[in-house]
Amino acid sequence: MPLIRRWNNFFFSLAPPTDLAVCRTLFCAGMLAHLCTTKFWRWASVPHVFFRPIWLYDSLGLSIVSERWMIIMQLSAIALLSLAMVGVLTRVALAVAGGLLLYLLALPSNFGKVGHGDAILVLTTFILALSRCDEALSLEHFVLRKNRPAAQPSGEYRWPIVLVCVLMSLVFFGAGVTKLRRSGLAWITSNHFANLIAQHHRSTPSHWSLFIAAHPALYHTLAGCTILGEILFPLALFSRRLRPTLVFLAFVSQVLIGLTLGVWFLQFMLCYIFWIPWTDLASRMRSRSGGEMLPATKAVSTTL
Amino acid sequence: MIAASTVILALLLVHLYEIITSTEHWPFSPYPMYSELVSGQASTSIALVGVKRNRQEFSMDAAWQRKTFTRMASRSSESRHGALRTCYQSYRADKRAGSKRQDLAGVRLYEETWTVDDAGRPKRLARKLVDQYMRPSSATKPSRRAKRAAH
Repeated sequence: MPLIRRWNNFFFSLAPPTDLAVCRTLFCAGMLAHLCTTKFWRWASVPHVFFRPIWLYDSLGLSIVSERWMIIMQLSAIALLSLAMVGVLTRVALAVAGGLLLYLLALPSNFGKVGHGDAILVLTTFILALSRCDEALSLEHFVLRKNRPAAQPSGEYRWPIVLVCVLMSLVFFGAGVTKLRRSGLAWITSNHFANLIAQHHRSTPSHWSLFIAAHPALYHTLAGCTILGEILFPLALFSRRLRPTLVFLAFVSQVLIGLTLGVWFLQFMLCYIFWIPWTDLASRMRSRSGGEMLPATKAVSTTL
Repeated sequence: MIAASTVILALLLVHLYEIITSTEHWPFSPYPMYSELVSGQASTSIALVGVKRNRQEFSMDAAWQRKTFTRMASRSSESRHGALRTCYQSYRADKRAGSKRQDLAGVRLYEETWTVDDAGRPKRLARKLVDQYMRPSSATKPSRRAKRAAH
């Protein structure tokens, strides 16, 4: 019983609908930016000899569709995410967009290099589609349910946010564990990190990367901190005190990876919005500027 | 709440299974990025380069191509050569379709050995030609510019 109670407290304690709605709006906006700047249809012209289907494509019998169909799919996903962002047919739009994203975001992984930054976006889209993320900050809610009372805090608004945070924690934890399993402590103690930097900057090494690769103490420390940070990241789910530090450090480390290796996990970084207690933040800012805190946020802890 | 708990539990279990067994079923994964050790004083890698008409080389390096050709480097020369030819033909087709691309005479696949010097700079130690595909006519027929220069 205590386990079930803990489970319920963790995933289903009361939360206002605004946090989830803000996350939905920002997530859809970020996804729109990603879809509008990525040319998925380019993969249609890659010769079939390089097609190496991943498990998903293989088991569902998916193939590479023509350029025209890819553009149609991408435009449909953009339209559906726009609807979900403003809150029109939100959950249906998210569910269909999720299906299209599953195909489009997995597409580049069928050509030899499996990408890991996009997978969580597909899962998050489906999680939002299953949740009641449309009960605040949505046009349909504003128009159709105008006369109804405002949505009350509920556990239904909390579990999707917590689940995305749990998935992010598993990504970091998995990455840390896999590094140790495959390479052991040599990942930290050898010159692996310097070689990695060199591999990514053969033509135009940046000052940052050169500086790090020239100082063994520095790259050993960074490698150690990377693994430690990844393995300890799930603590952010349980410790309110450690949470801001761990989440901030993870974000900073991903920015550092971008600066040193030139590899930017921009889409993955979109999921950090789920860690921010938006209602809490807004009411704090309001109280600082002289206004009163909202009653709902007084009663309900909106943070994880 | 029960339906949501089932979804949560399913996602957690599948993720943990992938991490424990170190298997990959996209969108679930053990997230193995950069986990393979590249230690030692020198490391080798595969590089795909394009050859212009004037024999000048330029990098055609993309992560997916590097991975694909690294896998192909150990395979039969026939399939590797076929892949290089396809690579060349698709590049030329893209150029004909209007993409801003270099004028290509062929593609080469090198195995390169790199090290990091004291200043942290990457330094190439050796370069071995693994395979190449050159346009048949380009080996004998000089370009228009080369003809004009000779004239």
